[in-house]
Amino acid sequence: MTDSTHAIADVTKHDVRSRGKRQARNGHVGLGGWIVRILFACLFAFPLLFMVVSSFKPDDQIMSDIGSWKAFLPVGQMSFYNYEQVFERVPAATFLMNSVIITVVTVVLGVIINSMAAFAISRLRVRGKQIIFMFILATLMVPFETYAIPLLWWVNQLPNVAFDQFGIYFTQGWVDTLHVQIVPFIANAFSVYLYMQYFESIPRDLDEAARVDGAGWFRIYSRIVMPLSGPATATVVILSFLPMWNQYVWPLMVVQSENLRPVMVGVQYFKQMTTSWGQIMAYSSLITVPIILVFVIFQKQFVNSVASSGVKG
Amino acid sequence: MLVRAATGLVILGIVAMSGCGEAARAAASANADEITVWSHLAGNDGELAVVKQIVKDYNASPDKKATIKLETFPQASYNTSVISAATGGSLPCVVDVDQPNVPYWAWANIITPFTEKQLLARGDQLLPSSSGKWNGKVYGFSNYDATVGLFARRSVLKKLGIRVATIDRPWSKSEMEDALAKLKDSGEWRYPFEMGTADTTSEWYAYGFGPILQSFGGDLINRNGYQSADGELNGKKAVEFSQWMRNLVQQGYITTKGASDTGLDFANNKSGLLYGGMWVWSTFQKYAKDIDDIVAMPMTDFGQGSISPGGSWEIALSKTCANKAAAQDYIRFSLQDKYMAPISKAGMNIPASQAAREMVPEFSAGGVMEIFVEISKRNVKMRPETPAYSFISVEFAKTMNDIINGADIQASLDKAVNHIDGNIKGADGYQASTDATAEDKDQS
Repeated sequence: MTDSTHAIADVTKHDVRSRGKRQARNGHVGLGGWIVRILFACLFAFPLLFMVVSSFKPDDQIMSDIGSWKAFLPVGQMSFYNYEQVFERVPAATFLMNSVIITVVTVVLGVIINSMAAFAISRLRVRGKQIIFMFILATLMVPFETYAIPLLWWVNQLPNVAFDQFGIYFTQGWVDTLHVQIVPFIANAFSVYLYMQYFESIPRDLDEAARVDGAGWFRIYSRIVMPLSGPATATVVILSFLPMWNQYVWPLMVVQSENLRPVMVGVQYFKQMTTSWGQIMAYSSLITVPIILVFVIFQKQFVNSVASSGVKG
Repeated sequence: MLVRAATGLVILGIVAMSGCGEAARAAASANADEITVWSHLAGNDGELAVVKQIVKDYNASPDKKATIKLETFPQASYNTSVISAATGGSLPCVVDVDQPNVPYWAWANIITPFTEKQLLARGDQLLPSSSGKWNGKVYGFSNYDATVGLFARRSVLKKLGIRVATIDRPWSKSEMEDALAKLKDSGEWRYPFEMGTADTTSEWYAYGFGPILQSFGGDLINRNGYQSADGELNGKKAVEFSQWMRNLVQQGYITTKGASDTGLDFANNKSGLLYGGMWVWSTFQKYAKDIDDIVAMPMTDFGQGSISPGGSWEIALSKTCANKAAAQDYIRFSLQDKYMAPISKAGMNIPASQAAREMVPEFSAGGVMEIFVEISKRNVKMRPETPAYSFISVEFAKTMNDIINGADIQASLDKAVNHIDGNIKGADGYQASTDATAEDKDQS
C-alpha cells in the first residue's frame, strides 16, 4: 500500500476514536451531578463490597454483621479460611481454567469469524446479501432455551476425535468435551450486526485506495478495516465474554465430567442444606474478579465505542 | 509437492494409529467392565465422603462384578443433567433419583425396576418410605428417609403456657391456632410462624403443605388410578385448608415473603415456631446457641391425623445399563448398615434400617432425633406416586401462592384441577409403555 492509503487510514482512525473524547469534553458536570454519580456508584459498589468483605469473615460474623455498616467493613475476624475451604470443597482452579479456555477461545474465534462475516456482507458485492443478513439477524429473535434440545441432539450426532493411550480414535457425539462448550457459540448474530454497523461508518474510499495499490479483500479486512474497528472489537469482546463466562444451562446439559465444568456450575456446589455464606462469598469473589479485570482492561475502548455509537445515532 | 506429501503422511499416520488402537481399545474395554455411577452429592462433603468410601471398598472387593466409576453433580442442577443425558443417550448405569421423581423417570424409560432377589430382599428390611415405586415395581432404594416437623423453643412454649406436642398427642387445629395467637401476642416476633412460603420454586409447597391438605381431608390427586385431581384438590376440605393458610397471613402469623433460609432465621430467633424439614437440625447445630432448648414436634392433626411426607434421594438403575447384574450388585453393596449409618448422620437423615439407626446416637432410643423415626414410621404419607407429580407440584405451588396472596380460593383450585387433569389427559394417563412393560416382564 502507498503512503496516501496509510494517511487516509490514520485520519479516519483518529476521527473515529476522537468522537468519544469530544463527547466527554462537551459534558459539564456540576456538584449535584457528582453527588448523584457518587450515590449511584455506591449503590452499585455496595453489593460487591459486601461480597468481598464477607468472603474473609466466618459465617456467624457475617450473620451478626448483617443489618449494620459492619457488613461492608473489613472488621472482626478476617482470614483466608473461606478461600481455603472453597479450594478444598470444589476443584475451583480447574473450573476457573476451563472457563478461561472456553471464554477466551470463543471470544477470539468469535471476533475473527463474526467480523469476517460482517465484512463480507458490508463490502462484497454478492447478490442476496441483504437476505443473508436478515437471516442472521433473525436468529437473534430465537431464545437459546427453544433450540437447546435440538442443539443437544445435533452435537450428539457429530463425529468426534479423541485420544487415549492407544492413540487417536473416532467417536460419535461431542458431549462431555470442552469444544462442545465453545463451537456452538462462536458465530453470533449480534456481533455480526455490531461489526457491520461499524464497518459501514468506515469510508469505502480506503478500500478503493487499497485495491488500486493491489490489496486483496483479506488484506483490506485485516490491514485497514479491522485496525480501525478497535471500539467495535472491544464491545464485541465484552458482550460475548460476559455470557460465555456466565454459561450455566448448556454446560449442565452437555458436561458430565467434573474436570470439564465451568465456574458457574460450581456455584451450585455450595447450595446445600446448611449453607456456608462465607464460602459462597469467597467463590463468588473468585469468579467475579476476571470479569472486572476484562472490563478494566477494555474500559476505554468500551466507553469510546458506546460514545461513538451515540454520535452516530 | 512437499506439503502434500507431508499432509498425506500425517493422515496415513493418524489412520494407522487409529486402526492399531481400535483392537487394543476393544480388548481393554472388554476386560475393564466398568460401570458409571452418578451421584447428586457434589459439594455435600459429609455424604459424598461416604459414597467415595463405598466405591473404594467395592472396587477393592474380591467379589466385585465391575469396576465403579463415580461422577458427581451438584444437587440443584442434577435433574437437568440426567434428563439431558437421557435425551442424548449418554446415561450412566446407576443414577441417584429423588423419590417423587421415580414414577416420571420410570415412565420416561430413564430407570428400570430392580430384579435381583437379594437386592429386593434387602429393601424389605428398610423403612417403607425409603423405596421408590411405580405401578407395583420397585425402582429405587435409599440409605435414609427424611420428613418434616414443627420446631420451637421449650422455654418459649413454657413461658406462654403452650404444651409440647408429642407423637402420640400432636396439637389439634384449635391448639395450634391458640399457640400461634399466644406467640403473636407476646410481641417478640413480627411474624411468629415460619413455614417456608417464600420457597415457591422448589418442591417445598407440595412436599410440606401437601400433608397439611391431606390432614384436612383433601389431597393433591385422587389416588385411585391417579387420573384426576377433581374433588380432592378443589373439594370442600381443600377449600378449608386453603382458607386456613390464608388466615395465617391475614392474622399476621406468617408472611408470604418469608425467609430464604428458614432454619437459619429460627436459629437466630427471628421466628418463634418453624415448620420445616428435619434437615434444618444441621443448621441449628451450626448456628443456634441454644440448641438444647429447641424441641422437634410432629405436625398438627387437622382432622385426619398428623401427616408428614416421606421419601428422599434413592439409588436406581438406568434403563440403558449394559451390565444390570453388576449395577444391582453394587447397589446392594452400598445399602449395608455400615454405610447407611454414617451417610445418614452426615445429612441428619433417618437411617433406613433398624441396625443402622442403632449405630447413630441421635436416631437411637432416647436420641434427639428419635421423634422423626416415629414420624417416619407412623405419620408418613408418600407423595402421589404418579409421573404427573412434577406437574402437580408446580401447579400446587403456584395456586397456593396465589391463594395466600388473595386470589379467589375456589376459582384458583378449580383452575389448578383443570390444568392437572389436562396434563394427565395430554400424556394419555401416564400409562407405562408396552415396550417397557414387556422388557420389565422379561427381566423378572
